[in-house]
Amino acid sequence: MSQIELRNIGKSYGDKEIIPSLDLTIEAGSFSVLVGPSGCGKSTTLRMIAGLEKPTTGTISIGGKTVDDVTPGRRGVAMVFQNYAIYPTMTVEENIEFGLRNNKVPKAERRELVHEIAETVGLTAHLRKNPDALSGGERQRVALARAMVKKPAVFLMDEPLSNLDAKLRQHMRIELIELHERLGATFVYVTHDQVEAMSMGTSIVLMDGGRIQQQAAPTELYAKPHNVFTSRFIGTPPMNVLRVGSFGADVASDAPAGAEWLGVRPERITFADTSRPAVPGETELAVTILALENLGAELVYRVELPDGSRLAIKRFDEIARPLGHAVVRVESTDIHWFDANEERIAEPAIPGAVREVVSA
Amino acid sequence: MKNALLRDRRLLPYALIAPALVILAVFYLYPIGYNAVLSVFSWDLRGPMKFVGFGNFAELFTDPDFGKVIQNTLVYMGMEVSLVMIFGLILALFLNRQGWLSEFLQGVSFAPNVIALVSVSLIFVWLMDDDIGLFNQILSAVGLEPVGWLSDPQVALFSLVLVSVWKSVGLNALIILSALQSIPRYLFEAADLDNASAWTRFRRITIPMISPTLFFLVLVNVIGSFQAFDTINVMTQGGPQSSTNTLIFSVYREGFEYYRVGYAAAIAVVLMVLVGLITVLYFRAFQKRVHYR
Repeated sequence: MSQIELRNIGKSYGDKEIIPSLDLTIEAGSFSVLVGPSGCGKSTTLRMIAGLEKPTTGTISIGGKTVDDVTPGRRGVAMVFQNYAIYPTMTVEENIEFGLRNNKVPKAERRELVHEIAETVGLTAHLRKNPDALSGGERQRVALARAMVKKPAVFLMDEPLSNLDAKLRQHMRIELIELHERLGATFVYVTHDQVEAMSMGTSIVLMDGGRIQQQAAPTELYAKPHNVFTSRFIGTPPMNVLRVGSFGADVASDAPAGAEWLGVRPERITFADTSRPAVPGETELAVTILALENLGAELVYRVELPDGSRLAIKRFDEIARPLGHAVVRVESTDIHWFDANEERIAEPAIPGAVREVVSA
Repeated sequence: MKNALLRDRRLLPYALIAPALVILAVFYLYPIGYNAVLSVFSWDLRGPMKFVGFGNFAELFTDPDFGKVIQNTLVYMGMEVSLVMIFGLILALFLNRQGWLSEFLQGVSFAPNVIALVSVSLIFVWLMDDDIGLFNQILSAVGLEPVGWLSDPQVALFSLVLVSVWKSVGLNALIILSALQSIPRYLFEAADLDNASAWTRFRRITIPMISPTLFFLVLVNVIGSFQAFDTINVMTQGGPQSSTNTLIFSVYREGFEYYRVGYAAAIAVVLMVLVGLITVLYFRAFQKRVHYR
């Protein structure tokens, strides 16, 4: 179990500043996912933890020990590379064994460990083969086995699933979650895929432009995005973020002080049930349905508001509606508010919530 | 109207490779065959050819000096190839570093390769002169005994190797360098995370990854070493005391100085068999240990 701490970490290549100043604590035993668009600095951060890149400024500690001057091989970390980085001139067995051999593990013990891991990841039949002879999924397993056999306190993974086909990727997601549960080690996982981040992470570190936008558990990241970037990164389609006035004068007058933007998740907008009038706290909007994507389990509508701004609406288990005029409802508790700097405005005390507690 | 030859699907491939085949036949196959024929004749280039069967070979293998010639050839090969490969690899590893010095030296190390070997040989005759040569002047300046670079039978063959290595090490280094640079960086990163020492990385990753290049270069250098002629002809003429007389130089001397064409052809046959034998043995011994991507 090792906690990883990055303090005041900066990274520049020449004049190009990738990361200005980063403070990050990765909890021991967590499955932390660094996620963000390409060029956001997530891979660089991972490589600095691994020791493959030297930070320009700042200090990194793993398990309470400063590792700034420790070589990658002595940091107690193992890494799975995006392209697996399997040694092509060694057999599968030699690949898995290489780290142990360098760490002077005795031969008998080495053999036992390698066979044990091969059994775990299902590579026993392939141990004597050359890596060239393996499929993409099997090579992935070699990379995993090579990391696991060292029994590291920290696993670093740099987009390890991105070279697999969609089906295998989904399968491996589950396997990695199980692996994390079983090993109890700290996992640091880099991806640009929000679905991977949400489905696997116990903690998500969302980065953009070399800065951490938000670090939170997946549910929190979804429910309380810190800013407009965060709100739009998680969710498909992303959160609708509009000018405060777009939902009409009534909603605008309810907005907290300083609010410039409002956001609503597509799945929180409902089509008006004409048999039930709107209740207080519900806003009705007249819209025009422009387009419809039918994804089987879900329907995604693109609609236009009277002021010309566009919304996405996601519905489940409903019959597709015809294009054209429609009425939709939004609950005020589902509206997120952002100020002129696109930062979240803290939840106003909701009177309804207080009453509920009192009456209970 | 298409040519009938081009329309016939079975003949077309042969028609297409015909030009190359003709060149191969005229300039390679025919001379090899003709040389083999010459080797069983006695001929002085002008008079009538006289069939002598294996007489030339019999004379060759009973000549007490011929064993020495083969020995010279093999010793030259062994020294030249190993020195070129070792220094080529060391130079390539140095050039593989980043920085202006490496880039500058990349250009410098290629320079000897563009100078004609005859010119190089002439200059080294000067440098290696017993009395006025720069080498011996340096040796005596630092208080060492002068060396008979080209006059001492114990040293002369090595001096020729030195010239050849000086000329070809740069090119070999550049070819090895290109192989080094094609090794993906992530393999070394993975090795770093596997706590591999610099020596382990070199032995388990660098060398296996460039093994196809090394395998190829050794073979090219071996074959090239059998053809070493310019240096010998210009610098030693096979001497002193036949200590630098090699197979190829014997072929030249017997054929074009003594006009014993059949005898020279017989030596050439021996040379060809020797090169073929070494090549086959080399492939047998090492090909399985080479990693091709």
